[in-house]
Amino acid sequence: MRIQVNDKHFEVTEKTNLSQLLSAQDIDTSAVALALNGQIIHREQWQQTELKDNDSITLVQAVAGG
Amino acid sequence: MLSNEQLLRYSSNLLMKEIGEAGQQRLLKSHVLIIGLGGLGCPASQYLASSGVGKITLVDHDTVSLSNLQRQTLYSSDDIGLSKARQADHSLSRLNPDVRITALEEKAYEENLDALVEQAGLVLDCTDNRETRYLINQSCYRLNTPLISAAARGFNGQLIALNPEHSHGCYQCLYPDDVNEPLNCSNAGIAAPVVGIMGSSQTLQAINYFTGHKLAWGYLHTFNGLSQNWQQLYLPRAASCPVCGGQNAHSS
Ligand SMILES: [Zn+2]
Repeated sequence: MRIQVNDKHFEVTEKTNLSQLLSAQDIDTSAVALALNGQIIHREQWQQTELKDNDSITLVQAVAGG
Repeated sequence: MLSNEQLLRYSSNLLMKEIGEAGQQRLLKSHVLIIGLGGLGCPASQYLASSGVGKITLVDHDTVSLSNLQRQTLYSSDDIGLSKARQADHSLSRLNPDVRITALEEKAYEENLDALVEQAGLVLDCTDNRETRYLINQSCYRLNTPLISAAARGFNGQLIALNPEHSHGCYQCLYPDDVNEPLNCSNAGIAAPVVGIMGSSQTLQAINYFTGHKLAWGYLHTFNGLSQNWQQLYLPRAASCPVCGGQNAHSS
């Protein structure tokens, strides 16, 4: 299945949840918010969120400046 | 009733059916608390004052420095070393004498926030650090006061409108990690128009709120100043959130 993370596409062959994908792709998740198909998924739900074909993940870096 | 001078001053608002005379009256009766008078707070307060929001409370403990002038449009080279709150007060009062400004040269912290939030109908978080952002979020949820929070770094901006009476998540749900951002304005840089867009967007939302338009409560708006793309991401409530979840939760 095809998974999009920000503007990159990944081809994933096995059943994968959010946590597995992030560690497999070595994505730094400290101080980020993560959204799946436009909805933010809280960290405690990453493990139980299975990915489907064409899922789109958005990672947003925490920004606090002003 | 609007005076003849007000009919002229606000004529561009009055011409639009989205604001009109009723909307202008509501703006004149509104009270906004702005915390932080840097790159966000400058444009946010300028447009609030010029649009005729009747009461504005400004909170900032900082003084103007030369490196602020790249983006902090309320101040001039003559203001270096002077209080931001006091200079902003002068500048905004000259801009629109209709507006009653209260300028506080103090830092927003646990002990003074509730008293400040309690008096306002809406809070704009224009601060530059996460610690204060968490405290403002807590205070707004304790007192049921809507909050429009924005931030910027580099070419990226973020904005979220939070209404404690709605069922979406809060700032603590968005960034629960109590870790400090590795980068901020002083070490990562910031594109002046990007932070200007974010501060102006906060005021646009404030005006829309006071004039009775629907806001996208609970949606994180991200802006990329290179591609000029906006994205909207919905923030649900985290069941475990100590601020808006569990027994503090509102159900509407
Ligand atoms: Zn929360």
